[in-house]
Amino acid sequence: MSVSAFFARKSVALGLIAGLFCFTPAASAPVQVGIAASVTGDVRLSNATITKPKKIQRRQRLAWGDTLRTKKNSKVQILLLDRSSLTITSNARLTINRFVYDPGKSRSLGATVTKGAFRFMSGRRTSNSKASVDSKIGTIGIRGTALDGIVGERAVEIAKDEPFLDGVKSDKETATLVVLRGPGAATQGGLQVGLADVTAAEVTVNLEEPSMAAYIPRPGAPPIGPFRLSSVGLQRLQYRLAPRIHNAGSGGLLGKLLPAVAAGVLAGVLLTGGDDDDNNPNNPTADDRSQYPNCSPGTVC
Amino acid sequence: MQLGKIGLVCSFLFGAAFLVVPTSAETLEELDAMAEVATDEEGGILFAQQQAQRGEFLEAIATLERVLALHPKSQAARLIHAIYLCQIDDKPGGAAELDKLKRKNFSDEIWSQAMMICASTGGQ
Repeated sequence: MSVSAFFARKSVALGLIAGLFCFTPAASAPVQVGIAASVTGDVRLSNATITKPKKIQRRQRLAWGDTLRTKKNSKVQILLLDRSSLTITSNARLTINRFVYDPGKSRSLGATVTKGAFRFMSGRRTSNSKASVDSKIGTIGIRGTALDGIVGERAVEIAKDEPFLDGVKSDKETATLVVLRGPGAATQGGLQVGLADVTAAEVTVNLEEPSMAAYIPRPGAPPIGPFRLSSVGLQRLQYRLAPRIHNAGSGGLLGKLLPAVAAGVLAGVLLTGGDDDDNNPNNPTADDRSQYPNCSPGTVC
Repeated sequence: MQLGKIGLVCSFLFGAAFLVVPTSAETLEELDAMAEVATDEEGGILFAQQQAQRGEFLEAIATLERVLALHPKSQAARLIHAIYLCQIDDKPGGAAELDKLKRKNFSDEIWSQAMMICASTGGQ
């Protein structure tokens, strides 16, 4: 056997071994990072393996590389292992690029929304938390935040009625509107005040107060802002994120439980304002009812 | 007798919520439990209240949004959702939620308390 033939065979053998490693179940197993905690309407999932989007139900496992698409009148809330949540509503598309969570130490999330409205709510606090949501034309860095965003035509519709954005030329496919929702400086519960950084075209706009917004109008343009989103604009964004109410005021707990529930909540809110002294990353045990002084037996709370 | 029944309902609801739903989910199965509890209007609201009592307002809001996704008519869930938004200092967001509610469905006491928490916010 010639030297070149020997090396050729050796290369093939090494390639086969490398191929085996690549295709072993351990190497190809998806990294599951959360679930679809709430599914309304038609929500479909695709990834490198599932190329034809399949309809999903509540409790669907979600992993790196999964893309979720919603159709009309649909909504899905993703609940991640650190209890952060990402919600997308009708006619939206979101991909989970990465999520790494080391409880009590670090959390890193990366997702992309290419279309539609979304809401992010931070979960458990860690000493080193990073989260970012990309659109096609910008990046939103998130720190301890409730944040809403919308990408595409609906973003343009909201932006065109904002006085601060008067006359701005927008792209209906990619325009991205982001608004910080909280927690603000007056938050209760000892929550970290929310911050968000919106970056595009190498320019960053910092959002530091609830209702402050940034708008990336088109590819290559820097974000505009920060500006305070009008109440009309906020309502329109919330309309995109919240389910419609049909026949509000009827049925449910209203007659039976609501007054007491609400009274209990309000009393609890007013009296306790939440537990802001909890430095223990572990929450109270499930059986410790003494944590909830407003919910004694004999009351509806 | 009535009080006893209410207490029983309360104990049952709380017992169910405590037993089924973990307070510190870090596995997929625990997330399943958190998802399932929100399919029931009462159970979901109670679980959200527990989260809020621990200061986990963002998670409580997320729980109520799961409840509202399945029970969009729930005035109780929406009112509490609005209040929690105010609690995290998102008063415009809380006001927008209060605007979706009908004032006549609430007692004066409850409404005035909600207004006090969401001070200077609207509602109809």
